[in-house]
Amino acid sequence: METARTAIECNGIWKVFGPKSERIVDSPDADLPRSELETKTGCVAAVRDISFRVPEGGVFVVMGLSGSGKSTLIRCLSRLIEPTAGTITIDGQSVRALKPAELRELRRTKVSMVFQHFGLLPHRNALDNVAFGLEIQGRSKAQRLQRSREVLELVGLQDVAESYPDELSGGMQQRVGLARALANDPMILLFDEPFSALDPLIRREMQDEVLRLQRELKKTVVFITHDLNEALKLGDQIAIMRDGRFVQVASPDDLVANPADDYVRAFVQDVVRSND
Amino acid sequence: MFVVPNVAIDDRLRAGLRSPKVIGFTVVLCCTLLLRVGFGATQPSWWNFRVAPVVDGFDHWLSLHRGSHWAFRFGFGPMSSALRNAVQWTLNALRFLTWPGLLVTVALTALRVSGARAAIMACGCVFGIGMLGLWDPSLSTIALMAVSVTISVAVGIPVGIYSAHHPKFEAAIKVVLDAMQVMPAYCYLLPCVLLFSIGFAPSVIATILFAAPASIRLTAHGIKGVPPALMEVAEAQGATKHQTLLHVELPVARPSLVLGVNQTINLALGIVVIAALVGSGGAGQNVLDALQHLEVGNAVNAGLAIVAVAFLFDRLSSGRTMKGARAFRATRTQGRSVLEAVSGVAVVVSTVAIAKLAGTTAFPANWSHPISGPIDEFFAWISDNFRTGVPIIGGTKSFSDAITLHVMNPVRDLLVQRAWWMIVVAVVVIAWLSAGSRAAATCGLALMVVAALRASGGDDTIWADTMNTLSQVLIAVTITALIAFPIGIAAGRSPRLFAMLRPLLDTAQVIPAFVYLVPVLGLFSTGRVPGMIASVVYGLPPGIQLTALGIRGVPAAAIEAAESLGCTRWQMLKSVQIPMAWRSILLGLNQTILLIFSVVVIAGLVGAGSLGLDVVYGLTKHELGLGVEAGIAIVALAIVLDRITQGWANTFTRRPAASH
Amino acid sequence: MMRTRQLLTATVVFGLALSACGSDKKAVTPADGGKTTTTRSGSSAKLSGKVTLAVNPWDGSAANAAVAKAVLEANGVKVTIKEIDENAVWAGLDDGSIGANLEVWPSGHAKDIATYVTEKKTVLNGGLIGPTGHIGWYIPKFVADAHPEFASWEGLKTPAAAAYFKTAETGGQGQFLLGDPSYVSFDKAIIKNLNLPFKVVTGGSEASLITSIGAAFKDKTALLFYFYEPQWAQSKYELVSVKLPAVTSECDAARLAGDKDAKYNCDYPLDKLMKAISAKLEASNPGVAKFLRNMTWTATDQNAVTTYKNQDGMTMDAAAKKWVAANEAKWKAWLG
Repeated sequence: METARTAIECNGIWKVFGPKSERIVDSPDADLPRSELETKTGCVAAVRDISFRVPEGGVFVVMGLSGSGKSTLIRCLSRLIEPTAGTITIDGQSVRALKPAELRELRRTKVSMVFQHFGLLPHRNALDNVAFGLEIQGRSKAQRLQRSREVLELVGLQDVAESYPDELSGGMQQRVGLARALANDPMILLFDEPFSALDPLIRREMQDEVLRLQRELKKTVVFITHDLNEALKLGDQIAIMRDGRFVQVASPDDLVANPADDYVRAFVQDVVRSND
Repeated sequence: MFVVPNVAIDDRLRAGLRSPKVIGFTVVLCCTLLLRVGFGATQPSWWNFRVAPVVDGFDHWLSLHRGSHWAFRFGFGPMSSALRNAVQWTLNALRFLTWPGLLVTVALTALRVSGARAAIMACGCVFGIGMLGLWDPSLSTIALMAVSVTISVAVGIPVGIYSAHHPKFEAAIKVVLDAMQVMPAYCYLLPCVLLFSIGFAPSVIATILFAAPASIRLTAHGIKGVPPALMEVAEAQGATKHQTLLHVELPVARPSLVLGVNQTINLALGIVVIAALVGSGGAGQNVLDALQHLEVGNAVNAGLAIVAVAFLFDRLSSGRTMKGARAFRATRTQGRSVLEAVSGVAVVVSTVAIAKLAGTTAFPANWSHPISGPIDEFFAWISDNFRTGVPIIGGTKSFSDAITLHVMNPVRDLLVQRAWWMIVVAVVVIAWLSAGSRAAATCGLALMVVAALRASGGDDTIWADTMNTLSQVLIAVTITALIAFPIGIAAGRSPRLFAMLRPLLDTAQVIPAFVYLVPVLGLFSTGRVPGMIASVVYGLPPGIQLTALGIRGVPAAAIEAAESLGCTRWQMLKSVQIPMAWRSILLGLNQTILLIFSVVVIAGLVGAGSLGLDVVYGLTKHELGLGVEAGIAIVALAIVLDRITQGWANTFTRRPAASH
Repeated sequence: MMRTRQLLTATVVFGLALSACGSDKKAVTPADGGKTTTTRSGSSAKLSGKVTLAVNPWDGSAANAAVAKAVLEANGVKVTIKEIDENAVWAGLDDGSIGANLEVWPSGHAKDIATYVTEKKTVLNGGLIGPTGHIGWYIPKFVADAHPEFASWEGLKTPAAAAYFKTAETGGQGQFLLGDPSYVSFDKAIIKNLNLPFKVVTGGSEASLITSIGAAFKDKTALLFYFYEPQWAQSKYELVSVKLPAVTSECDAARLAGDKDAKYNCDYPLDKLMKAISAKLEASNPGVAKFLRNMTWTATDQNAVTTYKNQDGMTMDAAAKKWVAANEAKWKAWLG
């Protein structure tokens, strides 16, 4: 794995919401606690100076509680949210330098995303939802339907291709979401807390599904979660995020063995205990 | 009437003083007081916009140059002939179809677009039109509607989409849309005649002006209501703006778009009657004739034909329910669609051919049974028995006298006899407490504009007429609310009652307001009362419907929680259902006020006087200036009422929101 | 429904109308006074082509048009009837989409006549149609029978009259009911100048005025109101005209000045109903235009047609055909 090509590399990403947000980046104000920063400047720093690298085929998990900035971070990668500062390189391309058309091309072919609340279009059945990405790429109808059926089969949903989202269970809906992300055969999959809305059994099943697909398809994955068990199960590397910063980045074993501070330790203890 | 919400006035005061918006409010208030101190109780003579002379001059110029000026030769002229031809061709096509052909076409279209139930309903409407004995006039109405509604929607949807994406544009056109809907259609019909000549063309234009705002508004509402999560999905997939619109926004907003079309149809039907004034004929002409000769039966008969046309359009445009649409799509294959289309056309063609051979083109006259007779008898019975001599209440006439003496006169005098600046200050304060400083500034400004209008021609100044109109609206709204509120709550709690009321409410909202005026006129003596009663009758259906919908919209979880705590029915109503439905009830009130307003204006025709009379007087007496000034006053007053009641809806909802 | 409005520019109008009066058998000088119209081609010119006639929403107007239609169609002209508001009709006459309006109450259209006939010359004065309109004050016959004194203005001067005619809207005074506010009205001035204890209430429309008349007859209650003839309701209800002071030269002067200083204190003058013809019709179909200018009949003729319709339940077209069948001599003259 060490010799693998770099799929994603981020350096010094900042995202500050609010007026004149550029001024906050790398200023002493940036170290202020959240509420003080907001009263002083009217700004909220959601992501502060984040850097990391994901090798091709690697699974990078970002773990944090709600409000830690992890969802903002993952949206910065494909510029669904425009970062305030920093560089992002995906497959050798500098993402922040891309023109709108190039950015669309990147999203169409290289980076796909799976969302927490599935984001399925209610007026389309499962098959057409999966075909959506291919449709906007302008593929022919026959082509996109064939490909969508393949992908649906891959996630085990070939039997409900004609069903509509509201006729499917949560787990099935997220499989459709997953199939949609896989349909255009992207290099990178971004998961934004994809299983947090599912019940525990289904969640475990879906995690296994992701692991299986990962083994078969060798995608590069960035996975956001607030569940450390999930992080430990899926990740090659795990980043613990708090108040917009990475507190620790380590392999699962390392993380359990050597928590960097009390905050991480508190998490890890829970996990160890519940796993016993 | 003026419920001053005392919700956290302290907080609002403090927030308000800090807000930069407060400047506008202060400026208006200071100006008013300065004017008062400097110039006494009546408006100073220089505070006069001289709208009327300018408009009159323009009107004269227009009369002289219409036809010869380049704007007419290359703009309005070709446009009006295009519109006229569009309607005429549609009408010719409808006539060519013959009645069996039209019936089959309607049935097949409804079956294809909206399903079997809709097809049966639509056929019922076609039969109904024929049975009422108004086949040919209704065809002309259908043609006029088809063209007007198509253009309204074709304009309304793109503008709605644009305004949903551009908040500044939306804010700018909101004022225009409000004005277009409150302005009595009378106001723009005759100017339309000067620009677009007579017949179908000005009718189409006036209809679009009146009806397109509904389409714009609901489209914008639907597009803005698309969940951000779905927009993000589209963006993450690399969709262009165009693709997002086509594949995500429009399909998701579809119910709202369909509702917009629906509303557009309803509003357009309201114009049908006055469109007949400028020579477009149709079923509206029958209503006008009935009004002219006070034939209640004929008015109702023609009114029902218009309702049937409305339902026909509605059935054809509403489409399937979500479930129906899926079941329908599941059975689709390309071959089948083509086969259906071909056989459909074949059926229509052969029906038309057979009908032509058999010589049945128009609906058979001996099949038609207008209901004018029974309605006339019924109405004669009512007016014989209820006008006078009813025990205790004495009958409609003495009721009308009592209302005039004890309710309408005191309220009118209260408003008319106050100095104008006192009213301005009072309204500004009320608006500020209900809706904040921005609304206060808007309301103050609107009233200052009214104070600057000086056309004379009616009995009173525009200001006095405005206050008179305001008093009528306030009374009508109070009565409507008192009736609609309990019925709406009952209907909201009982699905059966709601289902029973629903067709009644739907029908009542489509009957042109003119139709109500005829019977009401007979029962109540001339004056402000018949107009007020007509506007109450017109305002009740939306009032009831919106209240009921509000109550029904209370989440089941909240009801369940209250039940588990052992709430009685009354406690449930008082502490859960009404507070939670309050916002939508108040928004319903807002809608009802604007509707009532539009009828109070029409009521000028039956002796209610004031602004409605000024508009009619100005336009018929060819004093366009006065008509326009009264129109401006109407819009200003509507803005004031709208801002204040919208403010209530927002203020009152802040309370439950804070307690979550 | 008839319209009579400000009579201020009526001098011109009446002058024009009177100059055309009696000209039914010869070519008429058009309103602009310049060119004399049309070559007279023999005794009975062949008519052809088509024409659109306006019908304003009252029976008299419909009767004129229906009779013209019956005669013209019998002579090979295709006639379209367009029902339209009397104000909107001017725009149609102006651009030629309407060929003629056969019953214009000139005092109500002074401004339109000044604009289109005198200034723009796109509409021509077609001469008089025959019947004369008259506005006045009226009371129901049963009121006049019970109180004959109320049938003249002197009788209305008393407090007893005020008490007899008062309503909720007027308080202590008697009510004088006006219909459509756009009709010419000197009632306020008349009441003031004759010292009558009355207040004007505006019904708002002709329909509301007639409803009030109907209600008064049904309930046998008092009503003093503004009304006019010809009007269909005149034959439905027995009305008595209230005697007002005769028209004086001061009143004429006040009327022509638009009664700006409220000096009017007489009865209403007579309104000679006229025809308006589009200049476009004159250019495109002079034969039909000439026929329409020639057309003239009496109030009795018009009433005969409206009575066929209202009392015998005929359609207006059938009523017109019945009149045409019985009065060949009259309409033959129009063709000359």
